[in-house]
Amino acid sequence: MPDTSPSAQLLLVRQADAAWESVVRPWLESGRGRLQRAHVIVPTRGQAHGLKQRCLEERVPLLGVEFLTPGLARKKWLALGDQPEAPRPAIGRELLLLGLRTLISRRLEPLAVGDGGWGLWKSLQSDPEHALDDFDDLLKGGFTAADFPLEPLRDIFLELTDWVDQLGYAFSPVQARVAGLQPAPDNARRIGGRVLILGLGAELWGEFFNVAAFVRRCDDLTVVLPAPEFRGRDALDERWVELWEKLLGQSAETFDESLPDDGCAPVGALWLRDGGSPENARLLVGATRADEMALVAETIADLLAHGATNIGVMFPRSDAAHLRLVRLLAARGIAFADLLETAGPPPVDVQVQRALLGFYEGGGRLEDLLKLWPWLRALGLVTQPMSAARDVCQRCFDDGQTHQLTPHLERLRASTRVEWKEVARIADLLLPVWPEELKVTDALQKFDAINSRLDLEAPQGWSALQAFATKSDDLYPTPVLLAALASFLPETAPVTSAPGRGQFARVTLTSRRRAVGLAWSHTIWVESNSGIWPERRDPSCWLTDTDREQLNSQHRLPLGLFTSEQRAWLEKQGCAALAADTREQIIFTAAIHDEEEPELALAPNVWVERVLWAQGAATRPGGLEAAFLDARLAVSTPAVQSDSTADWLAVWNGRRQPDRPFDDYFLSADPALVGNPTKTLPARLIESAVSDPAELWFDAVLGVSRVAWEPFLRSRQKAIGQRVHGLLALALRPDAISNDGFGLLPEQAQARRVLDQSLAAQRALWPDDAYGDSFHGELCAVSRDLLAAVYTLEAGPWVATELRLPPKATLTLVGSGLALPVAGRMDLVLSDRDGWAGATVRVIDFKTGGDSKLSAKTMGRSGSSLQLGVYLGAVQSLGVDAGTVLMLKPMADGSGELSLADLPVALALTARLDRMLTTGVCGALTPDRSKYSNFGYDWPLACAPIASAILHAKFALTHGDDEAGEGDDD
Amino acid sequence: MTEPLVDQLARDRFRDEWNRNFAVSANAGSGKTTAISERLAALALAPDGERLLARTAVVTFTRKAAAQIGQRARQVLLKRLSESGRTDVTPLDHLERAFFGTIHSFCLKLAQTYGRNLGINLNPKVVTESDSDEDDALWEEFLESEAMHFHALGAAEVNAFLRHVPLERVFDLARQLDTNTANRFLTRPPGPMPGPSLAALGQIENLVPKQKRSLPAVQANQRLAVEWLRRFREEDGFLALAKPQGTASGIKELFDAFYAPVKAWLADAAAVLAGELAGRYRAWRFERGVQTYADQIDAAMAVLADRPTLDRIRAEGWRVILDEAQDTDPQQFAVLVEIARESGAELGSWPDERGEGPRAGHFCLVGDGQQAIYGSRADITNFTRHLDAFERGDGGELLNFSVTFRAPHAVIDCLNATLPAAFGAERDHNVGLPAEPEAPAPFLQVPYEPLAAGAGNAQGLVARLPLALPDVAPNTVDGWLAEEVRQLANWLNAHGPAGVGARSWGDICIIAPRNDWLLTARKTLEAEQLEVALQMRKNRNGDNPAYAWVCGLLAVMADPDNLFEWTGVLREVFAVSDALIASELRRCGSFHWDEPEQHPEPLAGALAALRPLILRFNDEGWPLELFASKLDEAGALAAKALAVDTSGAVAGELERLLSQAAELGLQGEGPRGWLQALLEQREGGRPAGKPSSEAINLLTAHSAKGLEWPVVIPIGLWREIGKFSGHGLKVVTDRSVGPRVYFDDASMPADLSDSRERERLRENVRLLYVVLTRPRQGLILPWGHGFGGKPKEASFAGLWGGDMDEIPALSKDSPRATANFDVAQESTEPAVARPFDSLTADGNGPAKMFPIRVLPHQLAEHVPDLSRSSRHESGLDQPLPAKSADEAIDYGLWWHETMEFFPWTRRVEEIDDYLAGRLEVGRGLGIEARGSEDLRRLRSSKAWAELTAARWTRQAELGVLAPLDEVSWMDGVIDLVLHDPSASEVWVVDWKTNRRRAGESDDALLTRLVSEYTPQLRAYGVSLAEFFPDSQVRCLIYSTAVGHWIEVES
Ligand code: SF4
Repeated sequence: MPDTSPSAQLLLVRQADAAWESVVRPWLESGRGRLQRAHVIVPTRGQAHGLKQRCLEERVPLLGVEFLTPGLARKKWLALGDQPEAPRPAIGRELLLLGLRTLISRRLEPLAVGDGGWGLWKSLQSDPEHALDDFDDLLKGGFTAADFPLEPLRDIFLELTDWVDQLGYAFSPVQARVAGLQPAPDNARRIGGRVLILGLGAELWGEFFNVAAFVRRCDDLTVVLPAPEFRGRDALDERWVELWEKLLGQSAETFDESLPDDGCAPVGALWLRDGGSPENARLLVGATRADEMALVAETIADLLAHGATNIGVMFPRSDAAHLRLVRLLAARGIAFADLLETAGPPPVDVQVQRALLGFYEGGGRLEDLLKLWPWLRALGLVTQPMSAARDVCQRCFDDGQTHQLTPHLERLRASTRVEWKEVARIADLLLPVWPEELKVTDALQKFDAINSRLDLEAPQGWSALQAFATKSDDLYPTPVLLAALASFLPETAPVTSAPGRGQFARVTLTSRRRAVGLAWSHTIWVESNSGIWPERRDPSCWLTDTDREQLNSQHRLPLGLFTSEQRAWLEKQGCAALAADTREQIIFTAAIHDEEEPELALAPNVWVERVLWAQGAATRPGGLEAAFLDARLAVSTPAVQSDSTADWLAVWNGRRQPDRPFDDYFLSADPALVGNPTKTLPARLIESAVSDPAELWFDAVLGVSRVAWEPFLRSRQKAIGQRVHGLLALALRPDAISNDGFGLLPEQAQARRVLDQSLAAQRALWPDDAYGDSFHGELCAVSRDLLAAVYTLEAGPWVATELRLPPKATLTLVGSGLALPVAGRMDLVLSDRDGWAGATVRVIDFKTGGDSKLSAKTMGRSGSSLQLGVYLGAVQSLGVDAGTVLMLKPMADGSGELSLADLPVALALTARLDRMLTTGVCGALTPDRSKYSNFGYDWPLACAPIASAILHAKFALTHGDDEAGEGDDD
Repeated sequence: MTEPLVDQLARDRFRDEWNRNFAVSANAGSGKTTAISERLAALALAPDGERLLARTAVVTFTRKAAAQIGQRARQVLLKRLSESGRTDVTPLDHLERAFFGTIHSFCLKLAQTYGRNLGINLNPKVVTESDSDEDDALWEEFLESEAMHFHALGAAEVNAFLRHVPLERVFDLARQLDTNTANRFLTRPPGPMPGPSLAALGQIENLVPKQKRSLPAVQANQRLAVEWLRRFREEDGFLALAKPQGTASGIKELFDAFYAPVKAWLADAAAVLAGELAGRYRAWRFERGVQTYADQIDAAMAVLADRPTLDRIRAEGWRVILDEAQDTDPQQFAVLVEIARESGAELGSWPDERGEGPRAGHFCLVGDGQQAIYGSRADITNFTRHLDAFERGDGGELLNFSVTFRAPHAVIDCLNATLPAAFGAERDHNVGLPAEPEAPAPFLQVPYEPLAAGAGNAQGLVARLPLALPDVAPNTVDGWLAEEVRQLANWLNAHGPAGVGARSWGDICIIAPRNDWLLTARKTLEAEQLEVALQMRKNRNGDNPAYAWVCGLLAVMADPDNLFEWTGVLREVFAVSDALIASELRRCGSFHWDEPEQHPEPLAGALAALRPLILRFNDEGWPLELFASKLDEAGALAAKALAVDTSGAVAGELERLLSQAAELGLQGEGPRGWLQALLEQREGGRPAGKPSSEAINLLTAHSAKGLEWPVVIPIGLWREIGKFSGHGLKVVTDRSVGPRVYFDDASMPADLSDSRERERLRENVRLLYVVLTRPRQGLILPWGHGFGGKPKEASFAGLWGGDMDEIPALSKDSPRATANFDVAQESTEPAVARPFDSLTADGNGPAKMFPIRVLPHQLAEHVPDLSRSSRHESGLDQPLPAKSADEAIDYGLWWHETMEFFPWTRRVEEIDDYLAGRLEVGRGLGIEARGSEDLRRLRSSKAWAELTAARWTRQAELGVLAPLDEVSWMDGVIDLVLHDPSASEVWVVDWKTNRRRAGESDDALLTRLVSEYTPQLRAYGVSLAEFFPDSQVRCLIYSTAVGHWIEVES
């Protein structure tokens, strides 16, 4: 590196305070009053914030001093535009991924499983990100794609490099290296002014050239680097200093010879090397992370109260614990500066756009349409509620047994119902799904189109993608493209109301990287549990540690590629350095239990372990484990029970007391209201009501119903049942139908013909494969069996199919004898005449599954198939002379038949219903949900289940109904 | 130290001889965790411990166990270090290099490290739970994307199969097949399909019922069979196998015989179809990027199957310590063995084919055959195979840890006296069926290892709690159990914990082999006013009140039309009476959450509490964590959670959910995302039930494994332990035949189901061992002669044998707790954090000493200066707004950068040249056109003349940190400052690239900019005045869209 750098000095410091007193502050003050540029380059904005805060503390106003991070520095010299060749835009990671993914899938196309090369491309396809990171490391380390040890990787990344080049982009690390390695041309524009480079450690090797390029375009340099460890197990930091000496053509001078022994340096030493002392370290342990944060908050308050000047709280990353502490401090009215990332959800438009991409990625599934719906609703693009949309989709799925939206399109369009129409409208907006391959322009155009159709705002920062589109005319695999589009949508949005942002305060929530190189009165190291930090990052399999060492031995550039060992060591050293810059006390905090896995006991991390060890814990009884647990402090739980909670609790408990009848707080209300439900009770509901009143309550008394959210699942049973009923109704429907709904039973042959026709039609709807065959085979067998069975019954000749009970139909309840209006649709009714009055009828129910038998006794005891009893009762109310009800099942002759005479026994349980309607007290008998049965009634999400034993006890108590004794439900 | 343990030598060897292989057979409570830790510590202290440990894997069953071993090992090491007075703790770093984890995570690691050439998914999404919703949805997707054409069977066979069995039955089978089994099945095509057994038909037809009343049924069944055969022969439509009515005169068996040939064929065909489908499903999963646990093992196997890779791995010299070996699935076991062997060793050739075993010091297993209770997934014979190998010195040596540090002397004596028989060959179920008639029956049970007491074990006691026969015998087994627990509860209530030798209720653990037994027990105990802590591996998430409340609340906010969920929230979270809910719903037909006052209290209050959250449900930039805590407040959830469960378990769950929300929020998820996550996990389960000193513990024998309590009470000793009999096609692995599919239980060969039943009993014997070895102090056995009806062989008592009546009855003055309980849980009550008395308002007082930091670019209300904040250090790592009112960030950035280095005073050519370069950059960003337009405007603007005038010294991007007034400092960067010392003038220029709004005139735009950005410009002005006291400061806003600047009155 030939050097033309202007006046420069290179200093090595061990302690931030020393650096500030003897270098930084003088440097900052010397510029005073002149209208002149000056830059301070620090590792992260954390240091910038810290330095500014110190300026405030010591009343040092600044004019013309701009604080830069390496990233911002890069922007500056790039903007200068003095590069030899025309400045090319640096390609972003999103586009690189797009390129890489495409290249991979191109390579995979011709290959079959097991072919040579297939394996590697397949693996790479599953993990391009890491490979890309490694590539980035290579570039930053002064290597190129050609240095990948794996031949195929070399090959594909070289191709990627060409691709990038042809599209007219550049790699930012390469740009930086070029600009950083040679001196800037003399006549070139310069940034000029004074520069102070402060606290950049070897960790920032990846950014070195960005800074170097900046430095080369300025006049007057002062560089202050952390002094290397005495016995660095690794010479990284030594080489780092040499690197700067080369750049500046200056040899480094150390000006604070040794670390002072007061302060917390010894605590750091405990971890970094032998010796050291736990003197100024303190450990606080909470039972859970939440408790730990409460302890931290209290400690901070206490420290402030005792005059702490500058407390740094070190988080491994921004996480739940961090946000919790923010809330706790804000609640205590403690002023603090928060330097950690926070994020909120992006605007609705963006979220809709994400959902849209998801929809196309899934190939247009009903489920994804439903995911979109609430958003469309929020945007006022649809008026139908979620429940309606769900119903429509459910129906579509049940009939078509496919998750795809497209096949249902015709049917949706055809429908006249408003809900269906709206779903159709949206479907038309969204469809068709995207083809297998697309050009970027087409993809963008499609996406813009849908955006404008839903009038969504075009997202920010797409110009780069658009620019790319104009350059690249190739076809890309659609999934890859969709991923790329998604990556250009912001995942988060800035937080509108976050305390501690952009403030100066005596408490700073930060991270090791952002805090290192600053002086603190106290540092608090939170979440000091093993497995949380220090984190050990294993290298990917694309560029292993061995590969890295091997490449480093070529000494291409001084620092080359970091191995995971080196990374770990740098982190450790960073912590020690920060300890050395802590004047009074280091406080470690940790938790004993992890919320996610309450069973998993957490251990202290390695640093804390060493502290405990140095305190002699190892030799005491119970050893470290005990010492760690002993450090635990309980948090005084503030939750004093308020009256309101007490009242609430009374209700909660009341609902769960077996010795307490159902009351207004348990599915009961004014009889006037319960006695006249929101709808005529369908027979089906009556059946379920006696086995579990909850259903009656929600469905009929409140008239509300559950909106399912589960993914659609195929159910052969259900599908066959539904179809068979439809098919038989069609086949048995008379030509002419009277207003009572009866007509003459068609000839068996004709009925069979109709059935066969519609069966054939059905087959066409199904995939032409074993799945379709299997389904169709059973469908045919069942429906033909049942049809034949119908003609073996001697009854008729009048018939009515899928006949709804007329409005005047009632059921006489056992008990008060109340005549309750009932509704329902009977599969088939055979009668000796046209109409009800005086007729002899057989009510037939087609059963396609289950082997229940019809018996008055069982029905009367357990209420099973009560529905059929209800039909018979209702038919009776219509004035028939004689009547029976029976079940028809395939491959079975006769499964019991009830006649009017059986009704008193069969309908015994309607007495329950009677009591509910007259007293207004319903209650519930919902069975416990177990691994084997969860067929119980689905309560609202918010309702924590109550043991059925308790419900039965309450029920017996309420209704004095011994039949409701336990075991009813199993 | 007292005199050495009887097995001290074994323990020392295992610790010190880390360059040898050992199989350790460790009795219950023999402290194997510590033993493994000791060995690891020894490794760490070895000369090249770092290298050794970097390639050491400690594999065990649960993450928890793994974590514990890791922690214990470090602790042991530190102890050793300080004993040896060493100050250098680097050996501790070595331990950090070792792998501690479950077998699955280790397989994943293997795949990720070595699988790059093998087409292995390197970062899969792992589906942990089979038959979870997630799993079902996945399968649906697969069905949707696959056309169901089969190639493994001919069309004729496929049709023949589908004629009798719905394809779905094959699906269920396919989903549970592992790769090996699937491939095996593919190699066994069935022959042509046979018909039913006519002989059996004959018997059916000749059937004459004993009692008249069963005549109709018999006749119906005869018709059924005949008709079925007719259809089978004459028709070709779908024909399910018929079920006979009733069971009269052995009709069921006859039908089984009738169908036997058909069923056998169908099962074989199903096996092949399932095999093919399983393969396709696996391939599809791969494409889809998801992995099941089985896939992870497959992936690892694939790695090993690749010779060069295998040799590479072996060359790296992995060392494996496998814990809980007896419960390890044979395949997983194989993975661990193979990587520890010499390069070149034949795959799978050890131990059976007597190939070279693992390299010395590279493979250890620790386990206890007596505690093998997971036959479903592990195969005990696989474990014993390896144990035997080590015993005969093949691959290593066998060590026995017979000393238990847990079981009290009384229990040890009792077990050593009774269990040898229970594990012995005299019991039929402990031996297998002889291969040939004459051959000796093979002994298949694990031999019993006598227990020896450690130094500190308690005397303890074993006692029988006599059960009295109730006057009226309960009519159900469950009734009997309830009766037993009732009598137990009476005893406990009468004598307190001390009545069984415990100090507190929490010292007692009641154990049963089945979950539903525990539910009965809980019900009864609670009825008797005893507090219990039922600890289950899995409790349905949706059943936890906290989970339910949050779910419900989010659901109504996500969809306020959802009246159903509303009713749930109102009654449950806000204790509104159902009566009120009903009447209001009738009155209004809905809830007016947006105008709560329409409703009476408490309904109105509830709605009012939620209203603000509903309104902000979709808000941009409102952190989910904040939303969650507001939700918590609105429903007063925390207080309620604590109220319903004082043990804090529910409150803990709430905590978990809140932090889950926080984490999701940081990834940009909003409330909807949270709801989605909750719904997806709702059917899932998590361990629940917290031990507490006031509550009696209830656990299943399986969950109790590895734990201990002072006093253990096994219940239902008399009760038969039933088997779960699934229905439909099932895979059964028979030693001789290997895996095979059977149509149903009935079609399984007699001796196969017999030997399965024996294995089941053997496992229950081992389960009994686990139960009996849990106590540290007392073992209390509720028992009464004839209680629960006649003795059952398959009950714990039956399997135990011996005469329970001989065990001394528990009397209230039976020997009490003698030895010290130091149960190694954190029983020590934590100190309460010292109250920070000094903590008052002055907690935040001193902090005020800091002036307020004013960031000018944020002064503009609603429209912060984005192009500035995105370049100001204070704005770094903060996401930029996804859409800004009317300013395009990337354009703003480009413009400011262009202005920053603008060569104002240079010759026109230079300026042109510079701008050409900038526009080039602009093209890359797709903003070239707008850029050149605005530049043209600038150069032809009035401002241009001033900007380029010679009188100025210029400074672009001028950073300023200076006091604005007493309480605030400005921290900002000014776009451009012009200074003319002679005229003592300072001009501040601020570039604005805001777009013109629809139909906005020049003046309108300019005035808008002034109104929006005045505060920012003023701040600049004021702060500059500080540095140029005697100059006059003017502030100008230049609008690129207009091409003019306008002055801001300071
Ligand atoms: S609150 Fe509204 S909906 Fe209800 S009754 Fe009054 S006006 Fe009608």
